[in-house]
Amino acid sequence: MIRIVSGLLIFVLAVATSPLGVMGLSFDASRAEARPGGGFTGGARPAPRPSGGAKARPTTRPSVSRPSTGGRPPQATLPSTRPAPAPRPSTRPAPSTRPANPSVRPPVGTLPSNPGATRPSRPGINPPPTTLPGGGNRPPGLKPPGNGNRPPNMGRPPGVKPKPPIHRPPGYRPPHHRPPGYRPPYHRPPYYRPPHYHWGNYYYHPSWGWFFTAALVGSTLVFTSELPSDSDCEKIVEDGETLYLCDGVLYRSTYYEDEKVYEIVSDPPDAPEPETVFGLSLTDPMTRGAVVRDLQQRLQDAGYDVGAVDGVFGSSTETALMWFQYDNGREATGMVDAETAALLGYENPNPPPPSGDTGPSDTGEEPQE
Amino acid sequence: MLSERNIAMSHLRKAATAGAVVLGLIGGLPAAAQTADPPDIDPRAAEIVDAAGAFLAEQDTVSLRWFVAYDDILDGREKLTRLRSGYSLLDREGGYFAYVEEGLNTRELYFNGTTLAIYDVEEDAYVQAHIAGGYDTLVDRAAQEYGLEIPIWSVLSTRYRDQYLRGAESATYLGLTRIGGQEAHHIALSNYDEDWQVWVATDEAAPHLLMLVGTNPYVQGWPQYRVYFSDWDFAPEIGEDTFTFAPGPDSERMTLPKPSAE
Repeated sequence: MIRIVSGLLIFVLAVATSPLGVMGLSFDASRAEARPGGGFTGGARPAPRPSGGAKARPTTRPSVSRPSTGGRPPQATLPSTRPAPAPRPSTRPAPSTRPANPSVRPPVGTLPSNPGATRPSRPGINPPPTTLPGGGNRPPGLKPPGNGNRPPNMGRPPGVKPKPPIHRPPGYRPPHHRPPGYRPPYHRPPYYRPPHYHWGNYYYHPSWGWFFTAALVGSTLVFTSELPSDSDCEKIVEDGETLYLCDGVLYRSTYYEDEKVYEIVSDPPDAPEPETVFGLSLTDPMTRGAVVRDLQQRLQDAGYDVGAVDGVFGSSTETALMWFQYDNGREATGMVDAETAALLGYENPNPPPPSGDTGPSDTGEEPQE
Repeated sequence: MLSERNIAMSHLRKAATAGAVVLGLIGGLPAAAQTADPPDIDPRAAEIVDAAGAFLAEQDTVSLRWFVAYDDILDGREKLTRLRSGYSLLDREGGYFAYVEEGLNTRELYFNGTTLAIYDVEEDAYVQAHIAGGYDTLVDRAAQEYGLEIPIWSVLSTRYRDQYLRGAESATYLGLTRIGGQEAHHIALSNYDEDWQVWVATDEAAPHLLMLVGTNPYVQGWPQYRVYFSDWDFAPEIGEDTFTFAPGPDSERMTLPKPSAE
């Protein structure tokens, strides 16, 4: 009887929990409904999977004994492809710093009933309490200029202080005044620009301004298209030629490329010819003269390239001089000092005094031979 | 002061004189291309051009006005037109005078057989050079020694009298037309380097030039020069001091440098 009852009970349970009720597929489209997690439930889709995996796994693996050989190696022999977890920085204080007994915390019930009475006010919200500087709480914000002892307000009117009237003649305008909408004329641009490219390449010299060159028979002449406008020029007529002396620079009126231009004849006289070789170096404007020519000749005789022996101490002469000093164990300064002059064969190794005394100029003019 | 008008001056001396120089190109340059094909020269075109050149070379005195418009291509795209005009008076025995306007610049050229003077009217400045000889000598020495080009020098030169068509590889007679009410032959010529057109008056007694147009086919934009001739006079009145320059008391004499051969 017990067997019959138990068998009947098993049958009823089997029918009640028959998988047909679960596996039975229904294609009724009216069952489709939106789900908050996306997707839908419908007859064409199986029942939603439980979250967390594609397949519900048993919580515990069955303890099935496997053969020791074959299959997967033991877990311990698998190479670790993941780096060892680095120790995370602890943002929490060490446990040792924590109070051992949390009961030492202040009780919640000790909060004051009026927090604003005891807590400091937030900066910028409430004005700081009136405390003297250095006497306690520093006021928020930047310290105003001054020593803090501002004079009391004596009723100074607001705005800028009016200036006393200045009597000007009618029509007066301050310097560089331009009426509204002013545009500079085409011949006087607001910047200093070189002339037109009609003349080809231009170069700039601080004394001449913009100039250009022209290759002529036997020489290369330097021209400017106009005389300097910021200086008074003196007109000189000599031997049928017309010359202009402007700030010490001599210009010759020349007809070139169907235009009247000015050839620069001389250099400004503010560069006196040196009297001694001592102290010669590259200067602006370049030093020139017979002394420089003699220095160049000696450097060239010593096997150094000075460019042309033209009596102008230019960059080529400086380079040759620096190489000469370097090859002779001297510091390559590019300036003719006493030792360099002696190495170049100048007689007097002692340089003249730097003062303006006009001593004998035979210090370095005669060769040693 | 260097101004826009001045800027065009040197451009012009190449292109503008070239405008007037068309006849020089026609005859002066040797055949540039050694082509196997014989020159395609229309006999009638050759006859008209040669007659015009011979007629001008035979004139002892001649005066005319000319007007040149030439193109200046900027950046290979923008075409600007420059202008130059003037008046030329030639006496092959006495000298040469030219008045040239380009922009706001004015130049006067005086040549009396021994001295060439160029006068800058605006600047009241002049320059002189010693050149002895005739008009052809003036043209040669001014160009070789000083780099100066005489305006429309080739039209008045006798050098290319028999060589006008030497440089042309093709010449076509395009028919009759009118320029300013004057009937003219229209002839197109070309060679490897340049194309040009000539309009010659139909007056058989005086087949003078009326217009020249030259085209450079090798420059982007095909710049042209167009030269118009007018007021031809083959018996002008010439004063005694026409070809001699007399500087004013305040005139400024300039130097005339000689450019290098390069």
